[in-house]
Amino acid sequence: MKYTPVDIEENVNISKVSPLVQAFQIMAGFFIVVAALFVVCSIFADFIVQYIPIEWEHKLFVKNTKSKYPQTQAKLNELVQGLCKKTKSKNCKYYKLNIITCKQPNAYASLGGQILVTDSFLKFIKSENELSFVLSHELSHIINKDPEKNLSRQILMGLILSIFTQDAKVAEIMNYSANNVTLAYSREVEKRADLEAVETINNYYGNTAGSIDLFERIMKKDKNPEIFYYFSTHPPYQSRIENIKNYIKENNYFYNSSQKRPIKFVEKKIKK
Amino acid sequence: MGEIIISIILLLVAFSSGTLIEKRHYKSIRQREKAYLTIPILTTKELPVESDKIESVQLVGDGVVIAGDHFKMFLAGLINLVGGRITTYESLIDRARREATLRMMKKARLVNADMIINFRIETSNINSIQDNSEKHKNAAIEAFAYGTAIRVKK
Repeated sequence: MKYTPVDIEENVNISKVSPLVQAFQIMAGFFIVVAALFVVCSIFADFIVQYIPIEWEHKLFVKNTKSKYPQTQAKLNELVQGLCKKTKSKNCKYYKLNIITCKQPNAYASLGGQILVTDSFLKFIKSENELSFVLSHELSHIINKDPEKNLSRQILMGLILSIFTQDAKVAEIMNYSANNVTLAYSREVEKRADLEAVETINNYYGNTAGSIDLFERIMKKDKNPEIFYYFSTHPPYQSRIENIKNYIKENNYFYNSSQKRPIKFVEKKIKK
Repeated sequence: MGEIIISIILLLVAFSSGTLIEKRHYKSIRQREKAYLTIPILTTKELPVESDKIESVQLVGDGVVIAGDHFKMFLAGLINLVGGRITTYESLIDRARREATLRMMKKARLVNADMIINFRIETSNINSIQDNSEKHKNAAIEAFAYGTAIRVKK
């Protein structure tokens, strides 16, 4: 028996696929799957949300807590009702505003037709028109059931994504792509709420003044570069202002900033 | 956002370091394999020569542990979801087996063996020795190569 050594240069044991290309392909695939899931979940969520009676939600989520600022809250609720009557909604009696204590100036639309405004936000406001615009914006979210849609969508997506949580890293990537899709969708919703709010305050005051004051004021304070808004739920202020201005121009709405109503009913202790 | 950026940086660092180490390792494997080519390795149990011609027999064997990098594990996690060949682990296992064989050959050379019969490779996964939780999972593989070194009477 003779032994003849042969050196085999080629390695057949490993596949000749670039790992980077492979990683990219799979991740792109995931992104598409998540986007598709998101669309399906959204359609489903939007569908079921219509059938949830507002009475139920009101019972479940709205609690009559004692406010720190009862007078202001009562006045603001009057304003909300007044604005609501100028919209297409028939459930105005269920909509309620609550003032919460928080250092961050903000206003939210919540479940069960609740609007939450922070006391620091009321400090920040300069005129009634400006406040009405923000309240109308939140009313638009409530009338369109955006908080409910958001919640149902998140629950559905959460359930589906939890299948993948076996691998923590992969779950992170999935969540990230899911978040990015959600943000883009939510920026669209914000845009719609802005325009509906312009409509509402135009019906209420016959003047669209006050619709951009707040954004302009924030813009002066806020120096975030554009790129940050890619990761934000709201569109950049500049584009929101332009959108509103264009909308007012297109519909020939009256705009006179000298006819703004001053804000009278905010209690002194808030202003401090 | 910050977490994602850190993850991406970690993955890129792991990818470049992993690729560099793998390239170097393969280069060294190739060189040593050429050097050890003169000793035949057989998987048969039967002696290829008459038993009276044999001077000595001896067990030789050695093992190696090779760890995968963060990127390899990440990609393996992705492939695990969709199925298919985990290509990033192929080179890991290939390297471990060849390195173990080479270490065994080094020992065979030390005992002046003329050939190795009944050659075997054992592989074991030692990925979660310290901790069973998902977080501390490491892709590490141990390969152990062994065989019977035979010296023939000259």
